[in-house]
Amino acid sequence: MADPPPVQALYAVPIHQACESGDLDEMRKLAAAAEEHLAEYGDVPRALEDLKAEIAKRERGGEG
Amino acid sequence: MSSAELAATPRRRSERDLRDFVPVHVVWELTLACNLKCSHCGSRAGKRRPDELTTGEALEVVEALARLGTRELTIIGGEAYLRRDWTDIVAAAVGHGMYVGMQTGARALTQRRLQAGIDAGLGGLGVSLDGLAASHDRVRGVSGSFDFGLLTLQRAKAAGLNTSANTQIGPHTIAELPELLEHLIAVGIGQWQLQLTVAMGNAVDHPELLLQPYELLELMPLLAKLYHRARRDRVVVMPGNNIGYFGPYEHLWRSDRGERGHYSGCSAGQTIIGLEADGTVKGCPSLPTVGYAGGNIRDTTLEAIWLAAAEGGALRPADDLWGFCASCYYADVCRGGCTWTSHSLLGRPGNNPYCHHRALTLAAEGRRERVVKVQDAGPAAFAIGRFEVVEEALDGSPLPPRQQPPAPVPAPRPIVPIALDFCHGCERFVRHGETICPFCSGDLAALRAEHEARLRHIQQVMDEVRALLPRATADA
Repeated sequence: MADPPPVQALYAVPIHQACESGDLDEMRKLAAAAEEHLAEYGDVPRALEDLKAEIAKRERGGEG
Repeated sequence: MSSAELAATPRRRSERDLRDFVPVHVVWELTLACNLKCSHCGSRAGKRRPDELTTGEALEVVEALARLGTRELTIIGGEAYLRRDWTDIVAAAVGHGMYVGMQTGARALTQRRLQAGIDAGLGGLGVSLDGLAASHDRVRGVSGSFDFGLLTLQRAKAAGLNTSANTQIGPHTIAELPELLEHLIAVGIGQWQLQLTVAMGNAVDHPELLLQPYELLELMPLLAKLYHRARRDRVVVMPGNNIGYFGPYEHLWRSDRGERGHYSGCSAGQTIIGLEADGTVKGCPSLPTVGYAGGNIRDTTLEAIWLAAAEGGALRPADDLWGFCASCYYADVCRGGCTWTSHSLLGRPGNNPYCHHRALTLAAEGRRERVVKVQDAGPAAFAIGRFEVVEEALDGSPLPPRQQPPAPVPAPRPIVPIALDFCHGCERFVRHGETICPFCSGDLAALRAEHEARLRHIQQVMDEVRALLPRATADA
């Protein structure tokens, strides 16, 4: 079994080493990292779509 | 999933600590001298005890604690810093590798005094704040004490100490808790410990400061909300051992790194020692002296008192359960909750109306409980009075008393606490071996499988995002 949780004695200081953690924090950190990455490199998917649209136009216009 | 990371705390208890009765955490009233006049003070602090330990005796206590394997020391009072040699005691404990924190009202904890503590090796500071400025100052009996408490937390944080706050909850505190939390977040505390005001000492003289058990129905959902609010700013809300028990939020209070930790009964005298300033040894700092003192270090050594008590269980609470607690679903895990709370209220432990599961169970039957003072407390430190529990309708109208069913005799309290399973449907703890949740009627195995599938999906999504990012960004 897991160790029993530490005792929260009344009138003692709380567990000063306790900090919040967990999947949700990791997910938020990862989302923030992904947003930072997108901001750094710009909106590549949108720019690529624009580029492809221009390519398609040129192709329709008969350019080689 | 949310949980507190507790791996590195000296207070973490292993199974070996439990079996060997290591006093992992010691809470030491260095002096009963106090410069606040708190109307809920259980120890009726103010003047120092006439026979407090000398410096030599106190330093010998530190040596004994080191030999017993103590890893964390909390110094309290009165006000610990009003003892002239408090920094010598801190330095001696730190010299033995103990983590030392001080819990204080902070009224006269000046920058100079704080620095002296830091120089001695003080690791953390907890300040008691019992509401917003007006109500805190009123209950603490000193104008300006709230502001000085916040200032002290700021100073301690700036000096690099771990900082926290403790808050006692009474009926007038509930509405102030959200705004109080914002103040605590603003000064950058790491942890917030909450506890219910207990019917001891001065609080018996002021029963209006005691929460009514049925008010837990309002308080507990609020605490859950505050838990999530605090989490956004990385403040850990840590209910003390008299807040519980079980009910729909228990998994928030005592979880650890994804492990579904839960309350496991009073730990007095098992891995914790409470010391009074005159050398009296108890199994918990809050317990009454009468009936719970295991001896005095002036009569024999601390080690002799502790080891005799560990073997004979003299510092452990009794196993008797009565009233609602005797036939409760969680009886042999919870054992009536906080011994101090129930003994102080009703004159003996084992029946504790301050319980969320109990309040919810009664509410489902259209009932609630109210406590009424029937006897004052004496003038001594840690004196108790007597209260009665009145059962009434949810709207407060009287109901005829009812007979409690005959209670099964609980098995002796195990050294290693019983671990419960968890229902992923209603998020309540259930007894090991249950197949259908007794609270939501969910199929426990199916709910667990759904939960695990959800976790796997989350993991897949996270892995996919990580794979798309450059390594340095993904690891950030």
